[in-house]
Amino acid sequence: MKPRDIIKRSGRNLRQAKARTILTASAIAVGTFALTLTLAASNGAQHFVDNIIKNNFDPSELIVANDKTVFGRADSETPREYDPSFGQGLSSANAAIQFKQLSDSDIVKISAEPYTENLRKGITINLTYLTRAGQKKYVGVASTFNPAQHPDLSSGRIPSNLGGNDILLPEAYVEALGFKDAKDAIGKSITLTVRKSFDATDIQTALAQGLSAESIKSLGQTSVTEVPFTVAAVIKKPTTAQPGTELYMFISADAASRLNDIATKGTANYHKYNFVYVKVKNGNNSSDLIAAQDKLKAMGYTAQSTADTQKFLTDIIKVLQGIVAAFGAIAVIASVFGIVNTMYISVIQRTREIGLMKALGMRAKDVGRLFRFEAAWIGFLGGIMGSVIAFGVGTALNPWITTKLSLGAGNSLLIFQVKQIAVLIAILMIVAVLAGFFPARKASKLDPIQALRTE
Amino acid sequence: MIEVNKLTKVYGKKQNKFVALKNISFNIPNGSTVAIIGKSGSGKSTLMHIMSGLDSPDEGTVTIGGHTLHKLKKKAMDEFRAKQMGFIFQAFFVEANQTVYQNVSLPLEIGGIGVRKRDTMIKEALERVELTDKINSKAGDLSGGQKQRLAIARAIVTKPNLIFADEPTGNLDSTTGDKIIRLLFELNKSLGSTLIVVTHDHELAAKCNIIITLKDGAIVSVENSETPKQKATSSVKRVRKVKAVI
Repeated sequence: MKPRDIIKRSGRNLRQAKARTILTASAIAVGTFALTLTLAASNGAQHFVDNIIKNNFDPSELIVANDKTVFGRADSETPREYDPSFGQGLSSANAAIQFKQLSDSDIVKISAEPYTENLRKGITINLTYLTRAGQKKYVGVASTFNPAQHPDLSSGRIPSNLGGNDILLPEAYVEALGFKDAKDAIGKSITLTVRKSFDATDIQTALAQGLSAESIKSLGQTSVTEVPFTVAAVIKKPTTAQPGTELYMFISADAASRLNDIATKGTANYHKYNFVYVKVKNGNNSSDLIAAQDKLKAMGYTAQSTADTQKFLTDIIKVLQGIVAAFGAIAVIASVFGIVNTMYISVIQRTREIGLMKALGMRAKDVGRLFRFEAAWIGFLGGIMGSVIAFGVGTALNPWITTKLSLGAGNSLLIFQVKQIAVLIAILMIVAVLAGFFPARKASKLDPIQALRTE
Repeated sequence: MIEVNKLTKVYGKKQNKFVALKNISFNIPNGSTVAIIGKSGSGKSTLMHIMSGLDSPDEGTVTIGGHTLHKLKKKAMDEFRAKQMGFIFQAFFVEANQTVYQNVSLPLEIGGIGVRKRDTMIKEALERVELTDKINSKAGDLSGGQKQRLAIARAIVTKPNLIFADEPTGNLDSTTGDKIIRLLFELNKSLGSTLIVVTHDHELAAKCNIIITLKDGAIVSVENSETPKQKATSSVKRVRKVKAVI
């Protein structure tokens, strides 16, 4: 019997038991629904992560640190010896941590490496406050502008080389600082203030110079330094910024160094950096990038590529999606029993028909095939039902989800891909065929004489 | 020519042993009409099943057109049955939810006949049994006589050399039964195929060239209306021989 005739006949057989077919397929549809949405969410999340990476990182750059703790890979189980020269911070669980920072000599060493095209210090300064004449003071964070960043602008433009006093101001500060609108802020001055740290060397110098006790007392008190900046551009609320950096303002590397020096002079953090960005020559070539990464590791540094960062973010998403997918898979597995049951009932109900077909010369192999194709049809139908409903529901809910999660225009949590759904349906058909294996075997092994005698 | 030689079939073992056929032998020339008659349990159906290759004998052979059935491999046996044999059953065994066309199409699909050729053959078969007007009707909507005509169309659509009919009029009233019998014999003449009918109906049996009567698995008599002396004598002789062995 030709496969085409078997497929047609199996489809016809299922149409004759519509209710049973639809009910069995519905069980698969439930699993398909969950799996289709999981795949769509996976695509959406991946797309979102890709956008974050694309808009914030240069793929030819490596983020280099002197301590893996910087990348959140601290050993939280082994006590760590205190070192006063190390930088200090808090872990994600708010535990005190220390990490070895990069010094100027490290920077010189790395810059001299043949694969280093250029090196950029990763500086983030917690401002004491920022303000503008006659306006309230606001807390804020300034960070070195990364040329790989591509923020959407409300107004102004980003100069090719950010000037020493240029600042990219987040949109949220426009109204807070009393500007009429984003356009109004362009070219206007704002003040960033950093607190000068207590500097023991100043007191030692003063003592050596024989200054008065009053003067020395004043040196012991910390003071603030106000640095004026000019708004070069206003950046829109970023939809693809690194989470938590939505209110970061960006300044040039020189300006960031200047502010950082004021804030850290006299402390263990002076001219120390948690990490630096190393642009690798021909770094878009992954083998060159990996070679540089390996060399840096051999020198005792920790180097993370954009791909590593992407993987780190994607892995978290994958774990969450795995949990949802597992529920979908459980639903599919449960539906397998439904298919087995339906197929066995079908074999019993059609025993005489099987007997007739065998009497007329149908090969046992083809009888088995007929039932396996019926199972495949059920899988196909369930797959189509589930994915179409998931597509409909997902498409209807996408705008709401996008707003609720503040994903921003152009981003969707659920992205459906026809190819993926087709593969999913194909897999479901295979699962259904496997489920129909034993009933099909029973049908193929039926004795035609006994089958024809069945009432 | 169908040659049945020393067929024996035993069911069960030891105390449950039941001999369904005992050393059965006879020959059937091509194009004959044959009635196998006998009471229930006489072995009629077992004989038909073995002659059609659906069952295998414990001893003996069935040779059709030079092919010894039970020496054929499974695939060859299925192909032989699909191409050379047609079946008509007492309970019709039509697929009620499928159309007349689809029912008749089944043996052709099994035989791997192409769609275009199949269409012509189906229409021709339905014309022969005068069911053309019901071509798109559901088989379940047909009357008993129409269902049996449909079953006949399904049996003849492949133009087989051999048609087995198991109590073809058993589920029909006498008028419809007569029509079906007439149809079967007309088709036998026009198609030239051998018709083997298993029946209780002596009136139907009387219309056949050869009447084989079974009792308790053994041949009681073989009557041949065309060449009665020669064939019947040789068969009866063989039967006597069989009985002597038993």
